[in-house]
Amino acid sequence: MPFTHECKNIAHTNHNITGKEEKPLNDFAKETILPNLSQNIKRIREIADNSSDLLVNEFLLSGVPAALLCCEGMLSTSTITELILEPIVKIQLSHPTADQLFNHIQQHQLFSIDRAEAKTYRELFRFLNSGFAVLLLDGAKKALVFGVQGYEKRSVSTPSSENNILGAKDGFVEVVRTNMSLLRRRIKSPFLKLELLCYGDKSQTDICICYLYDRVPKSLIRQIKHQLDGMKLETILSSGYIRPFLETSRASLFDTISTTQRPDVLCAKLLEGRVGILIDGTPFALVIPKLFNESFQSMDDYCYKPYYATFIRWLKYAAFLISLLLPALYVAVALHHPELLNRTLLLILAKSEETAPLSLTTEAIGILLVYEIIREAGLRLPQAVGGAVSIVAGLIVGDAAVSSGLISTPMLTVTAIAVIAGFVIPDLNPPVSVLRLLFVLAGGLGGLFGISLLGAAVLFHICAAENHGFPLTSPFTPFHKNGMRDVLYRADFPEMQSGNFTVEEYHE
Amino acid sequence: MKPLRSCFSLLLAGTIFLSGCSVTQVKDRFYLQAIELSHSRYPTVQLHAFTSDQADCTGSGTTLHAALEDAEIPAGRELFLGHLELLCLQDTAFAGQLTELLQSYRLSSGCKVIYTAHSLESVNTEELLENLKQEEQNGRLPKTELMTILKELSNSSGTALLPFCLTTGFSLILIQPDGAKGTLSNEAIQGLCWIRGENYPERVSISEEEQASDFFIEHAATKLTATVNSGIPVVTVSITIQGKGNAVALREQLETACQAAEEETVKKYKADVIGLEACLRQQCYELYAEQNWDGILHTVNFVHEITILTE
Amino acid sequence: MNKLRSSQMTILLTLSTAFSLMCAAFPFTLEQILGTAISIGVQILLCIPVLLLTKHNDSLAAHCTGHKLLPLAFLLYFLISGGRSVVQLWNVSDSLSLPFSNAMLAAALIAAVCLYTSALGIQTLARSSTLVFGILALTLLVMLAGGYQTIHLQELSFSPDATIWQGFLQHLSLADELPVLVLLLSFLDKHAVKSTLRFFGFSLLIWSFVLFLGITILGNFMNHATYPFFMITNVSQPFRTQRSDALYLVLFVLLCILRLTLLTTLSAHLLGQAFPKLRCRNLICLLAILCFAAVLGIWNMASGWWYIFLIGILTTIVPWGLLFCKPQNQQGDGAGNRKMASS
Repeated sequence: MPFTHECKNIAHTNHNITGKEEKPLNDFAKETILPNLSQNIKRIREIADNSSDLLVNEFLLSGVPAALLCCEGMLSTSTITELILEPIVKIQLSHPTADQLFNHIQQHQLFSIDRAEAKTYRELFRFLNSGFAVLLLDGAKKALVFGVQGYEKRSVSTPSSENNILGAKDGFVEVVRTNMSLLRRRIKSPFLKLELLCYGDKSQTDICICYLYDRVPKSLIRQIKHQLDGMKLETILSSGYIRPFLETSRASLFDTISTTQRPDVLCAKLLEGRVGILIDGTPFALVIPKLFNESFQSMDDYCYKPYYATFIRWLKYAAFLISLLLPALYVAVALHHPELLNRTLLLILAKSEETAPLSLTTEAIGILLVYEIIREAGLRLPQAVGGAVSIVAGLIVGDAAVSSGLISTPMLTVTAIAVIAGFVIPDLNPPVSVLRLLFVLAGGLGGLFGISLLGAAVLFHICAAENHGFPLTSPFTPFHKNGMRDVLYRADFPEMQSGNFTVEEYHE
Repeated sequence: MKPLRSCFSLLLAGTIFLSGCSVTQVKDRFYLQAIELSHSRYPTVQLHAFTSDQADCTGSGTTLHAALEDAEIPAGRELFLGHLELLCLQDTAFAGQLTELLQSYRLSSGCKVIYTAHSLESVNTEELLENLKQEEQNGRLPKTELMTILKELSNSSGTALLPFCLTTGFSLILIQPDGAKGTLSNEAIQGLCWIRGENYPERVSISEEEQASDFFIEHAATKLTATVNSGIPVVTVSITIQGKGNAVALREQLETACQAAEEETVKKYKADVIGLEACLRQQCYELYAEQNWDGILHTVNFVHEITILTE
Repeated sequence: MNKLRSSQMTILLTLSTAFSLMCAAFPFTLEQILGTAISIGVQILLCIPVLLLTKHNDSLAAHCTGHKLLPLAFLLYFLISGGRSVVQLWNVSDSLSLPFSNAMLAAALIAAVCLYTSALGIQTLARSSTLVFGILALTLLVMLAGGYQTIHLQELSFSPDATIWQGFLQHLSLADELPVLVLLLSFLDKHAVKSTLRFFGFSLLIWSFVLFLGITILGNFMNHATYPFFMITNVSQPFRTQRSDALYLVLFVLLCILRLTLLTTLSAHLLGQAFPKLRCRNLICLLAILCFAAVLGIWNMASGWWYIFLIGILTTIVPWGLLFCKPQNQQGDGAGNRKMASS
């Protein structure tokens, strides 16, 4: 299970069997590499506690004792053999020192295009555990590292969420460098900056901040970096770990930072002057800032003709309102304002509720909760058992409950419509699921008055949400006329890309 | 601030929960399609629910509200009048309580109100309602509903038109401020339909010397204009009709009908059911403000301009 | 308090006046329409001193800093105005189909929501108002669509029982927005005159539109309608078989919350200027509003001509006085006053 607590750099003092105090475990981070090779290797083994996947190959390089370290399974055997092992043994210099050998290798040998130096054990282990090969020489206070990664990784495939029909089918993977290449392939501008940083005391996770430096507000970048620097995390295993540090209003029900699994979506947002954050180990990128209307946008909108895209956009707005309010309105109107119902509908409702043992509010809340349970079960169950969930849900909830009179058909129909409408905007599923229940409660107890009260509170809540000075409700409010070209309707591309729009226009 | 916010959140939540303890469920309401009111001195109500062929239950009391409360007992549920479609008055004195009914029981402003001399206990109110609507659609009765009646009662005349349910169909009566009622002839009823201009027939039967014929109406419009001629208000009723048939005979028939309507309503019963007051107030304001309404009704003259365009 | 855009201020004030319109308990007449137009003209004239103040890069808020009397005077008015709004809510609740038998309970719930909304600040209120304005516009269109078939233009005529002067006074006594405008202009960065004129334009449009609908739809029945706005909604049904009157309850509640939130937020701001160290200002102001509401309700003082004097003093006399005084901290540059620290 993921760790949720922040861990500062507390020195733990260990005692060995003899009772003697040893060096604190975390002190290695600041230690520089020892020049003596054997002591160096001994120290490395101590820090790694003789971990089985640490491979140490000692050999002589032009008469100088050397060692090549790597992490088993993290590198490509063929690459290391061709690029490093074969050339390295051919190096013949006469009585070289360690520094001379290193200079020769750096300037005359091209073992790998990804080369760096490590001067501390912290850096050494970071490279080692990232799949680099580490070359140590007796007498050198540093190590040379060569990128020969060959660990197993998932290939670029269709994203599991954010499906579309006409857009690209590739999605981010767990390796940040692959994700970076997906972006670079799409935006060939030299202004695209991919800044790789490292966070997480234990995990040393690579985090890449992506932005177009000619478009992004400089203050936004500074703020984000400041927030990231202020993080005190041991591990970063998913985007959810760093999200709280980047949100300025954490109490908001609605996300103020969006996530995406699609490189084309991220590129589109970078072009608007936003900042993307790629995290090694997770295929989801974070995008700052987020606007509420983005939850209703998809890449397909920009592949269809404007009239159809506009139609689909409005359908999504309607679906959001239906998903959020339909059960509540139904309960409110049926209980408190039956005069609003059409006469025929009212008679059908009255007849179906005659034998229902529960109140309408309880029915509605019950069905919604059952749906949430079924949905969660469907997500977590193994595929083999997944089919059984559909049968159980369909038969028991859909058929048996109605036939037995536990719940009424109109109520089930209304809930089903609301739930299906919610699938249209999966991004808003968490807040909609919770708010839907609250609205049903408010509608059942207070009718339209109760719904209005809660609606006002939610409206104010959404309008108060902002991230880094960007209101969530832009460009609806504060109103920006130009922003309507991708909100109220989807304009033609010449109009869409005119005016050099950046999200900085929405900053307050 | 946080503890205070928590306290108020709890207070809000508690208030919400406590306030909703006794919500009437859908099945606990008795949805009424029609009610009959009789005996204004000791009101009796007969309730007709939807999909019911006859009256479901009865109640009586010292006031109308008491009678409705009494009727809840045999009904076994709370009465809901929000979808009431038909209000039958057996006593025209109830007309004065219509406003209160509208506001207290959330009646629809489009509810039909009729007068009936006999009880409708064993009458299918759904069929009755459909008959009434069809008569209005065919232009045989002027369109009336609760709001129209209330507006007419609010006029200076204090009179209103009510459909009168007979065993063989519908007629029309005028209810007056003192509760009295006046019946109108068929000719006057036809004339009222034309002068009020809200629902025209699609076809008019014209009685000619040798045989009856039809005039088919495609489009019709009515306009009232008022002028003052030597201190006497003159109201011109302009009717424009487009259709097919004998225009001359139709004109004569319409003239007669309009005259009958004006004679019986304005002159005989001192009733304003044709929008006369609004017309005079708008177009002859000085006369309207100076003279009293009875005097105006006594002296007003009508002129008819009937334009018939045929193919 | 944060800056406001000119359009946001216009919308906030328009929504506030729309609430007053919904709670209007007098018959709608043609004289009322003309009286309203004249009243709005007079209100524009009353705003001249405060607009001159903004032209000189000065503002009410600048003078409030470091003083107690001026902010307390406006604070008192806002609390009374808020109390008046609560009383209007109580009175209207009786004729609305609320699920609670006790109107006080409805007011308490609204107050609880306002406590939350006022804590979010004026910028949130301004942003929300844009969306509520859209709902208002949509609602008025639905009202027109529903009432279109029942409009009788012949009903549009003068009434012997009403006078233009009466209409003028009735509208002016409901002009609670003027002192609010005086204070809000302090937080506007530009287009003060345009924003003010736009507000009055919208106000005239909305009042005229609703009054026109009321006169032509209700006719003489207006005299029996306690709250003509809600009677219009009762009568104007968009479809024969479908009523829509209860939906206006949603709009009413939203406008009520917006108005109370606006008054509470401004009151809290003024209280903060008079007593900077005082905490829980929103809560104190809201409780004070409820107390004033109780007093005004018991003594039946929610309406009256005396409000006109209060409005006149705060809107005209005070700004004239300020025009001839310089604030303590002003060094000829009023721009800094417009960007106050957020409350």
